[in-house]
Amino acid sequence: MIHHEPPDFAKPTRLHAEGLTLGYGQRIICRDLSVCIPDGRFTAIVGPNGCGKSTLLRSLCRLLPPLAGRVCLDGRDIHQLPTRQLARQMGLLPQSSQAPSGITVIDLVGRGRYPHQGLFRQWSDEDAAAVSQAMAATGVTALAEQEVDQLSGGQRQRVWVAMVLAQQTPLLLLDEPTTFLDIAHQIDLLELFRTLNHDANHTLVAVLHDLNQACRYADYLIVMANGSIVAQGDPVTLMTVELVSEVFGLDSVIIEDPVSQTPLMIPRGRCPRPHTTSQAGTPRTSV
Amino acid sequence: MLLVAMATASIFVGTRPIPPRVTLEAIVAFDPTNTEHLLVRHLRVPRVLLGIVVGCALGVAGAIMQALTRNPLADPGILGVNAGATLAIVAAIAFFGIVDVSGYLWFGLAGAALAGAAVYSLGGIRQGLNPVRLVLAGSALSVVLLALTQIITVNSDEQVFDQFRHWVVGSLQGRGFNVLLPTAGLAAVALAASIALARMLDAMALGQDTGKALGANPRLVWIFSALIVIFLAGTATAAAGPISFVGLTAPHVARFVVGPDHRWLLPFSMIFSALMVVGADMLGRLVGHPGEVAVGIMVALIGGPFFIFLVQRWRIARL
Repeated sequence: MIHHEPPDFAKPTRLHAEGLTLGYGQRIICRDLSVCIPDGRFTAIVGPNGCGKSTLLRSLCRLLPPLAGRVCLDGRDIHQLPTRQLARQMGLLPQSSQAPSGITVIDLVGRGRYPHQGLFRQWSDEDAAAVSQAMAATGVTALAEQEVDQLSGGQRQRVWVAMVLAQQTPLLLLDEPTTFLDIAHQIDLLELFRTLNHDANHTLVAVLHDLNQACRYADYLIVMANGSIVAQGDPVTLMTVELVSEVFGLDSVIIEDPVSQTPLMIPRGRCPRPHTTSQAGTPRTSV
Repeated sequence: MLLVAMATASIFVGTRPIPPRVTLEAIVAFDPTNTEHLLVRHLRVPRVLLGIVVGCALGVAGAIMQALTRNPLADPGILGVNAGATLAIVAAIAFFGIVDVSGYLWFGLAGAALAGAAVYSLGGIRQGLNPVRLVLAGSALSVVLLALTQIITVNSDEQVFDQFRHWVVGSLQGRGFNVLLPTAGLAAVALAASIALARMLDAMALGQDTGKALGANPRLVWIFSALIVIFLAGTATAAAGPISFVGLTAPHVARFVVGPDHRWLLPFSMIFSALMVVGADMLGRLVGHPGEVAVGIMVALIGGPFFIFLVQRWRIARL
């Protein structure tokens, strides 16, 4: 696989966050997070359940206002940007979306054009081109006139990706895009994301569950545990037995994936040490 | 097309038999000295037009409420608007002795607006958006307003009760141009605004997160929609009394025909619901001959079985 140049953190990236404290009401999930999302890369956010991965992603796309700190796009706080302007820069595939019943694939994909349309600027050739391009990229062109309800899980997820692509944003945020898909569809989708990243130069940020898939497809990892960022960087240098033990509490062996030459983590079992940070359900407030 | 045909047919049908030829003459060659001509001009024509306006208003209000609350059983009354209008009108009849429809039209509107505002503050719009809380607040307020309405009617004299009894079943009878014009004016503004809302509703229909990510502002959509619904449902209720069921059924029929895209769904809900109101009103005059059955009763009588048929025959869209 092609490796990009290492990210240059001397100059800030388009999307970055400083000193984020995130939570819902009184419950603090993450404290003092700072991240730079490398431009033109496929970044994966990984970590155990409840570590704040999705919370971070939601704050990056303005769904969750930070309790402290700020998220900046091109140097401006995203909470100060007009909604539509942000929606033309950043697309989101949320964990769950609802398709109105009876809607056809092409109509659903067309709704991705919302931020490009105005009250008086209705459907245009540009919109039609964006929709057919998005459907072609995700391989759902043949399904255009079918109802979304009738599709299989894998097809449906592709249609949602097409909807986000039709939004034509340089940045794409994906919240657990492969959950509930079988392994073949997971690989399909991840290949698609990598193609989008390489060919169309989209900056991708995805919350992923599978560490090995993240290592294989992403070229930048943000590893989280207990609401803070434990490590970030290139998977090959980042992935160590110590990191896996610290983050997941797993005793493991890391070998080179014979197919993709990326790190492949094989768990041996739970770490014997009792103070592992990953005990599911522990409240996380300390940083 | 169907609506035009139905409306035309409805002008020719009435409690008093007037030959079709005379009806036609009344429209094309109006003779102010002819009683039958006067009847057609000043009663039947405005009545049909009012039926269309009320129908359009209820259909769109219903479609918007269903989209907002994602509840297929939502109707315009769900925000307490109808109950507010009802209480205000009963109060107008009982306390101010207003017996003219054009007189209590404004009371109805004010009542609808007050109820809508109350539901919004009770539902805690400032603490973030929660459709469930708003709907619960609307239902609770409706119950209270209804109880107040009943207290007033029970304690009022026979004449007031009689007046109220005729209004509460929902009727288009005896409303002339003095009711039609303000109703149509208000409804036209709100209907035009609802068309601008269609694309926002489409974006929000994909879920809150996706809607926001697409650049729609959920709070703005809610406030804007609620204003439109209060206007539409309030005007329709004030003018014709509480006609239930149309706002619930018409959007489902429209959704079945044109699908879930609100740019189509809203106009088609208008047409179907106008058809239902005008059709039911006409049937009411035919069935009840030589008297008539009020449109609110007819709509429920025909609409109920029809809706059950619809649910059984085709799947009703999830929202």
